[in-house]
This record gives sequence, structure tokens and C-alpha cells, in this order.
Amino acid sequence: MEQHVTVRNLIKYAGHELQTDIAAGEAGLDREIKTAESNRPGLALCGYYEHFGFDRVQIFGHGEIGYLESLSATARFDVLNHLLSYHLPCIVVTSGLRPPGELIELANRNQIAVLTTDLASSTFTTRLLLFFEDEFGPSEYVHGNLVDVFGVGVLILGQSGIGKSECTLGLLQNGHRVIADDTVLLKRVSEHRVFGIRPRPFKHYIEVRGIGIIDVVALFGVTAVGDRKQVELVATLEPWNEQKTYNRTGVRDDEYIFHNEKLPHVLIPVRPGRNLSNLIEVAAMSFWGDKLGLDAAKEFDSALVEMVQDKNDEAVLDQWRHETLHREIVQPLDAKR
Amino acid sequence: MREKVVTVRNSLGLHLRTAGMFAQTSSRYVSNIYLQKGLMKVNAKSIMGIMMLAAGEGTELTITTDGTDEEEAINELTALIESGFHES
Repeated sequence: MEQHVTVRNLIKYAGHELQTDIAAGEAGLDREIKTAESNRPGLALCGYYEHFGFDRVQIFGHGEIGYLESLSATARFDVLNHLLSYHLPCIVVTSGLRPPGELIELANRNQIAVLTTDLASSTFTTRLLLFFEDEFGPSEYVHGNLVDVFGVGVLILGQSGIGKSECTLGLLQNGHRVIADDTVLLKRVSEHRVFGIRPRPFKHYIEVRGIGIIDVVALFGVTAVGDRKQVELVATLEPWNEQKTYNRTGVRDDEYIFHNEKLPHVLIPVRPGRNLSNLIEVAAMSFWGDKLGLDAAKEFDSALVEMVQDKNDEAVLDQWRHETLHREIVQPLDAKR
Repeated sequence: MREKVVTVRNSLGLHLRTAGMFAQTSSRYVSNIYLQKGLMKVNAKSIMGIMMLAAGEGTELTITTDGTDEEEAINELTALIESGFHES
């Protein structure tokens, strides 16, 4: 999916973070930024235009402004005139420096926005690149539901009619939060995260076969809905397949890949009598446990290995049997009173 | 895989009733069927998905069918939209 980032959007959505003010060239605010990078035009100002990254956001820091100030007014005008004859997306003057008058004049004439910021060039560039990573990250609409289960964003996938909505309804009844039903906009953002966003600002509706369309907020309250959530776990519901071997131990190695980003993936076979929302809930809890370093399967396995290697296994087992049998029975608190 | 661009003809576009008709028709086929408006692509077997497109009269939609009955599916679905869902 193609992204459109204009200078106006940059100011609108990252202006606070980037602390930008508009100094000149307001007519250039709708210029599109097509390259997610920045450039220090020091070499170009000195006349070297080979490999000049004119399609990038141009950063004027102490170096550039200092050099320009060292020139005579006419030389400064000529140098900037050459630079601004390129189709630059915008110019940012950092470190609270004042853009020279010639820059303001030429930017207005050529309709190139000049922004100022109090941030140092390096800080500004870092934040700018993070914003670009969010904006230019690939995105895609997927058919599925996104639910916040115990704080874990679970993307529920599966073919039409498999029971995604029923599952979501069950999760809602258990107090979880639905982000999107049926269609989710996935977007890769900075720091290798994938966000799921509700595709349209409609109210939250869910369609359940046999019941029809329900209004989530009317039935479950405002705490039952959200607009976006980081996707941390993917659960695919699929018809039970006798030929297939399902995960029996919980050692997870399956992955759902979204534009090179690997997300843990569980396959949940659907069969009458399996409560899907409970299964999803446990999958989310288990995922959370993994994050905290609790891995039931691994722990059980290492205990077993230890026992297998124990030469005194019979003696230990014998002691366990006796101890357990003769242990004083602990009464529930109420019974003791 | 088959793909076709169609234009919505009926005045209310893909609202509840027409989206329902479309989803029900799609669901009769085993092929995977998608409906796309601009950048938004949804599963055409889902009423909610289709309604998310908010496709009004004159909107261009791309129908994609993929599977053993893709040919019949795309023909019937195209006809459904082009007939204006038998609405005025």
C-alpha cells in the first residue's frame, strides 16, 4: 500500500515531537516527501552537486548556517538560489538557529517550506527517521479480528464462517476489549512492531450469524472497545484436520510473518465442544507467561530430564509416596474456625 | 485467479441489504473472494467487511476470485453489482 506523506502531515502528526515552526514557504506545505531520509546539504552549498539527495528533507544545522553566514550577501543568495532550484521537499533549520533572510525570500519564491526547530540536528534527525519509519512502514488490510486479551493484542484469523466473531463475542463477555471485527488494518511501525488499526471510524459493530449485527458499546460498554493495539500474537482458527498433528506440548515455533516482522502464531483447530474464546484467553496468558520467562513445557521437560538422570529415582519416588500419603491434611481456612 | 473492475449502479450503494446479498452470494462459492475499493481490500464473504468499504453509487470496485469455481463466481457477482442489485 502506497503511503503519502506531505510536509503538512509531518507538521500535523509529528510537529509536537519535532517542535517545528513554519518560518517560510507555506505554499510548499503540500509537497510530498517521497524518500524517508534526511540530508545535510553542506557539500551542495559548497558547490558539489554530484549525488545530491535533493529528494530528502534538508537539514540546516550549525555547519550549514555558519557557512552561509560567512559568505557575503550576494554569494549567500547565489548559493541558496542554486540549492533551492532543486525540487526539495522541505528545509529544516535546527538548533534554534535563525534562517538567513535570503533563505526565507527564496523559499517563499520557490514555494519550499522552511521549518525551524529548537532541537539539535542529531535529535531532530533521529525523531524524524522514527516518524518516517512509522509512516512509510508497509500496511495491509487483513480479514480477521483484533482483540486486546489481558493486554496482549491477539489477531484472530480464519476462513469466513469459522467462528471468529463468536470467539470475539466470548472474549467480550469475559471482559476483554475488541479493536476491530472482520477487517483489520495492519501496519508495521518503528522498532519492529506491528499495529492493528480499526479500518473506519464507525461505531463498533459485530456481525454474528444467527443473531445479526450487534452494537458492542451499547451491549458491553465503552471499556469493551479500542481503536488500535500492537499485535503480539496471531491465532488462526481452522477446521479440525484429522491428518494434521497439532501442537500438544506448547513449545512454540510457528510464526506469522508480516512484512519481515515475525509474530508468534498459534493454530487453533475448531471442533464442537471446544470453547474458542477460552482457548484464545489461555493462549494470551501463556504468551504473557512466556514473556515473563515462564515456559510450562520447557520447565516440565527439564524436571523430567532431571528425574530420568537421577540414579536414586526409586528412592526419591518412594519418599514422595510416603510423604504425600502421611502429610497432615491442610484444612481450608473456614473449616479450621 | 480472476479479477474484474465493476461500478456500483444502485443509488444506496453497498448498504446493509446489498452487502448482505453480495456476501451471501459469495459464500456459496468455495473460491476465495475479495472486494477492493482503493487501498481497502476485504473478504467478500463478510457483510461487515463489505460495509466497511462504504461504496456508494459510482464507486469502482475490483472483484477478485481465486479457486475452483472462480469463473462462475466472478460472473454472478459482476452481474449482481451491474444489475444494481435489482434496486433502482
